[in-house]
Amino acid sequence: MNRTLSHKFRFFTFLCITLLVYVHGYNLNNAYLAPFTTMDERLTFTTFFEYLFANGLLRFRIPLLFLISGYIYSLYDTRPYKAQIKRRFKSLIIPYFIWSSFALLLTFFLQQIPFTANIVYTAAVDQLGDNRPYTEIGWHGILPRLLWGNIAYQMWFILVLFVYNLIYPLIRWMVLRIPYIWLPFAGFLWYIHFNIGLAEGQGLLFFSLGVWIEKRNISVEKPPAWLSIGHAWIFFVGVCIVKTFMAFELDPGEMSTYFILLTLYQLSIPAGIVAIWFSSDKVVQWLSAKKWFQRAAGYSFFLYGMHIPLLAYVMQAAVMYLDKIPEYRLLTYLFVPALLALFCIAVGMLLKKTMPKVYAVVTGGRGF
Amino acid sequence: MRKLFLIFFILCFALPASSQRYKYAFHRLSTEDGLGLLSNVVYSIYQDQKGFLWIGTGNGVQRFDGGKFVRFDNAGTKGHGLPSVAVTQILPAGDSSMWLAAPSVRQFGIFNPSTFSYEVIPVQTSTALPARSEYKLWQDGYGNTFLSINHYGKILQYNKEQKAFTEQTILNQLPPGWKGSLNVFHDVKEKRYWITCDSGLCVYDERSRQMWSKKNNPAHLALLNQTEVQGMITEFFIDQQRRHWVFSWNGPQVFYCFDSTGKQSLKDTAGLNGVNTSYAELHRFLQTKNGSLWIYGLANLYSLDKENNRFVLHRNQFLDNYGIRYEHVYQVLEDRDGMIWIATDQGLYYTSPYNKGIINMYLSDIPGELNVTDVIQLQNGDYWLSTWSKGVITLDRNLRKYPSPLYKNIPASLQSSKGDLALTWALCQQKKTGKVFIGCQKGLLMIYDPATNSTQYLQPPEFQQKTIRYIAEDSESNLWFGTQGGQLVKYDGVNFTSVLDLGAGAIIYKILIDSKGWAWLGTQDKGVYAVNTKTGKVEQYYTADGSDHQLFSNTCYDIEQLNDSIIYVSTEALNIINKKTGDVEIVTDKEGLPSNSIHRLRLDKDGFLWIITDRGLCRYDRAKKRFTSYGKKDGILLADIAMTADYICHDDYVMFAGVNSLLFFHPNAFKRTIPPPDVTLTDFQLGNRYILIDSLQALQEVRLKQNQNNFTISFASLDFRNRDKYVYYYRMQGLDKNWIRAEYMSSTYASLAPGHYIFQVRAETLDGLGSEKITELSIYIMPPFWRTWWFSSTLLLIFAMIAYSMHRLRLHRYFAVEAIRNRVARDLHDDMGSTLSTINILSSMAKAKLNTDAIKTGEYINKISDNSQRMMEAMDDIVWAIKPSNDNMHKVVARMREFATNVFEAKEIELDFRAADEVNDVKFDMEARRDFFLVFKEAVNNAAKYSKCTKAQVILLVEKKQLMLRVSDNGCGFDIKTADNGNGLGNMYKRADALHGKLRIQSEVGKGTVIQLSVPLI
Repeated sequence: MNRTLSHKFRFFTFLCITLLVYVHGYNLNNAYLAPFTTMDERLTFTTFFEYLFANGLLRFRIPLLFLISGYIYSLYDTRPYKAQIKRRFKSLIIPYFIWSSFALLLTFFLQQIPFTANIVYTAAVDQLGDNRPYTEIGWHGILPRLLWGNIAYQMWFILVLFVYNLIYPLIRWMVLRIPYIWLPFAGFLWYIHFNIGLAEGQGLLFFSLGVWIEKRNISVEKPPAWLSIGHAWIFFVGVCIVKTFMAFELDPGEMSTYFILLTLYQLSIPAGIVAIWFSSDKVVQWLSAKKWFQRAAGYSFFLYGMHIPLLAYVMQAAVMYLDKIPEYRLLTYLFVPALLALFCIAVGMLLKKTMPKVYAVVTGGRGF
Repeated sequence: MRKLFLIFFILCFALPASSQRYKYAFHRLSTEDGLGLLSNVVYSIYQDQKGFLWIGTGNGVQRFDGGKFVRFDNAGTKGHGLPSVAVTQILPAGDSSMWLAAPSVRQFGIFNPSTFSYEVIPVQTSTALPARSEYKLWQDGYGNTFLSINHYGKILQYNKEQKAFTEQTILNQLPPGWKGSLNVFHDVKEKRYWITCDSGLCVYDERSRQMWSKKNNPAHLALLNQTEVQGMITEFFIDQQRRHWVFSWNGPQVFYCFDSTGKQSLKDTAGLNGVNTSYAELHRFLQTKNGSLWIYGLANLYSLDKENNRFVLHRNQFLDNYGIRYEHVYQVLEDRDGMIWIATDQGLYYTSPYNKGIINMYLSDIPGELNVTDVIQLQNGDYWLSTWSKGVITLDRNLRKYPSPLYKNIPASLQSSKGDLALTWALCQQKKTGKVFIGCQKGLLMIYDPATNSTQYLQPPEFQQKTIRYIAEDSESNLWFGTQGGQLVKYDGVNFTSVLDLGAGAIIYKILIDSKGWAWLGTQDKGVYAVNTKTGKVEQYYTADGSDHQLFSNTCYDIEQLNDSIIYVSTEALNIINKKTGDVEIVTDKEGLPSNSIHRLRLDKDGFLWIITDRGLCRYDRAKKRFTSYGKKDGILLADIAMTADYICHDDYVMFAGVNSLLFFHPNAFKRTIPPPDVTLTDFQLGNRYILIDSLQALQEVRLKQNQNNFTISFASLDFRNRDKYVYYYRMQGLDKNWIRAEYMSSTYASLAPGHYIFQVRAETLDGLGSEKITELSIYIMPPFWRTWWFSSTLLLIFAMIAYSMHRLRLHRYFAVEAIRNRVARDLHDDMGSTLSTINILSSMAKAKLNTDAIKTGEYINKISDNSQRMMEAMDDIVWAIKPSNDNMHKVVARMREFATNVFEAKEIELDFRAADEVNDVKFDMEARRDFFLVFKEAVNNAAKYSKCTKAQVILLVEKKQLMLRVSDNGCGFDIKTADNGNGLGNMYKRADALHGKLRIQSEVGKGTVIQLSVPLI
């Protein structure tokens, strides 16, 4: 991997995580965003803008992260399997439990103060649907929240990633031996939004694609001559806009609505990846030359681990207590995630400076 | 029986005002009303969070919104089918759900009207249930739901996780051999569950987590050891006064009441034992928010009269307007507005505690005995009522009758007219003197002086022996009399003067002295006169006959004044006279008047006009032009008979009287000081189809298709007592700019255009208090797809894609032309320019040597010739490459063959040129074609110039999607490693790269050379 590509991976990892903060900062009534989610609010600039970004334009980030992960993992697959898994355990599983515990402790702490307890309850981010205080839920309720129903719900990504690392030899074999069966199969699972526990289609397809691209030595630095980046941009943005309007206008009870929204969503993702990836060289080049960016990008994982459920609580508080300000939802959507991202990075910097070993453990050794 | 009924009424109503509030008038709802009640056997009532009443009947469950009963049956229910049998209990089940108990089919389930789903909850018992088991659902103070099963003896608790009733409850820790009966009472204050058992009472104490009974009573609860509380205990209740009510069933049912300690058996079961002479069973208790205790069951419905500390049995075996009949009372419920609802086997009843500001008084038990003709309140607070044939009825301020001071010392001359003196019609107390003037039959006049307690009897000739129908006093203490004969007589304290004679038959029913001193006369068939009391002149005259300012009819019964301008006149309908302009506004049933038969008018201190019509009592608010009716629900019982007299008392009470009846009320009794509850949407009718409003309200927005734009929304305030008295306003945001006052409790919309709308509705009391929140329903009528944003944006996307494609195509062409121009320019510069320079130099040199060195000049000319030849060839290549007609492989192959033949023939080299047919199908663009040809040309030139070969071979074929070119010779060959990769070979490699192809050169000294080019075909 050359230096340019390395910079690009680093840039996109940071970008995807920062955009993740914006997706998770979505503050409309129905906070559950699935590809097929319809809007139960009226079409306004705020609702349109938030849906367009959070459930459209920014949705390429997780597939791209899987793609990058697959590519890099494949690049270094000459290492022994056990050593590689051991390494990934340290860089994925240990941080998973640390950040899960952090989320639970933070929530528990906030539940002890009446003012913040109300915010926590109203934010309703519990993944198992029970937002009662943990003192009421008890240990038998907390344990599943630590293991799989994590309140830091973004952590599913690294758990799933670890699974793909575990089964990497199988994926590699499939990609190399039967790519024309395996990739369409994974693509099908991705398209139908297959998702049962840790078995899901999105990560499987894009992780496999990353492996395939690396193994086939397909150039990812320059777009193929046949590919029109302009068309990709128009298609990407256009499909996201059409889908956003449809989310407001189609009948939510119809199956056709489900499939139409899902299809548009899935179409927008590869278009977005292609458009953004091949258009970003100059930005990557410029940013990579900036020291502040290099420093900030080093805290990507820390930001990733820390921002949920903190963002959900801060956003809930902002929405609850700033509702007298005109357009408060749009303003909080624009500014709260950015401020929280800065806060997380600042905390990460402080931790790294004061307790570098702790920082190394919580980030799985990243950023050094 | 009739007598009993009257006694009951006298007991109920002929009592001081303060005692009236404990009496109840019952209103029945039944299957005959046409409101949709499915069965008159009503078992259960429940009021949900919105305020709807849910009714469990013998035919399933229904919802009542005050206007109609809506049936909920199996059609469309998600999950299990709703029970269509008797629903004996309805209890809350969280959010908008409710428990339904249908024990006849042993079914208990949770019904959610929002989702219209019903889920049967299984009952998991450890052993089989005995026959004739009885069931009772109940809930403790924490909202836990239990199921008690009589004869089975155990209590089951609803387990949310298992979604079943199981025996896993602490309440089953009864002493060995004890069996629980149906009732358990949860004492939230003391945190104790009182369980009725077949062997006494058990108490589960939450603090100590122990089950106590008489066998184990560590807390020494006295009640557990009371001798009365042994054996079969069936009912237990602790009321707000902490009295412990215990009903046992050892033999006949016996009722006990103990004090808060349970030590002392109170004797004040208030007559519960012994009130009812028939067989009765009491099963349930209800204590209302204001502390009224109701106990009921089979053949019994008691309410505790707190003041008299007696239970009152409510039961009438015959039909009457205000009673209740039943064989079994299944449930009594107090709704959130204090209305009492009673589920019986003979219909659903409701009643409400009477307002202390309302008194309904029944005067006599003999039909038609007391025909009240006028009523006044004396200055001392007593009430006098004139009657036709029974003289004047005198009541003290507490409405207790006392002997009349009249009819004493009647002069001898009038002894024969004694009967006429009992035919009284008009009453008036002169303010200045306090004397009471009583107008009688035949122009007789009694003047009672309270100061001397004496009565003067007169028969002034001015009355022409006609009945005195009305007496009024003006501001100068003159009295004005109206007579049956149409005489208006003035009495100035000394003399009687006839002021106006309207003629026979023109009965003067009413005289109103207005603020200006005019006497307004309401007459029979002669219309309304306004007489100036000072001049005696008729100032204004209104009839139904004139062309302008017509009254509704010519007979006027009553007149009231609102202000300096407005005079209310009743001539069957309501006439509003503006005395300043003389205009008359007629208000009839079209304007909301309940009936066009007005009997009495009376203005209260706030300017509201109270009207008695054939349809009871109503109030007219001139400012809002609104009539409001008051009836049984409001405590007004006698308005349909109290229609012959009216009066406004000193304390602002309004009084109406009639045959045997007296109705008092204070206008403030109907005033509401709290805002009305928020309006509830009760129905959504789409076309002819009713849509369940619960499910719609669960949505953020009701989405309707474009052809579903005709609908009706019904609404009401679920305050069952006052809902008809609120003023409702609604508007459809997106359609209406202003609020619209609702004439009916519904609003219909037809052909609404696609778009977003918000239906809003609010309620106001008559005094202008508005409901706290505006009730809203968001509605979205979807446009056709071609009018949607998504369709427009899809078109825009397609257009953008096409536009960008065209732009890209144009750019491609532009760049292609530019590339050709650049290449041609480069080629001309590289090939032509340098060669021409060489020729120029050589020609100059030849010119210089022309005369001196012929040999050199010849060499120069030869070189010029060679260069020009090469230039021509290069020029030929450029032109050939550009020429569009050469844009196929067939031409390329032909040129390659021609070139190779020319070159090798010139060197006498034998050429073997082979080209497969597939090669002709290969597509190359101009650039690739040129590169391919030049690689070939270089290879051929090299072979011809340097290989010294005798044979050469050129092969062209397509293999594995690659175009293969092979040029070989049998010449001297060369060492590739030491070969000078000059321009020739270097250019060949570059051109191969440009073709994305691979160039391989194989050669050894003495073994010939093979040059192979493979170009991938896309």
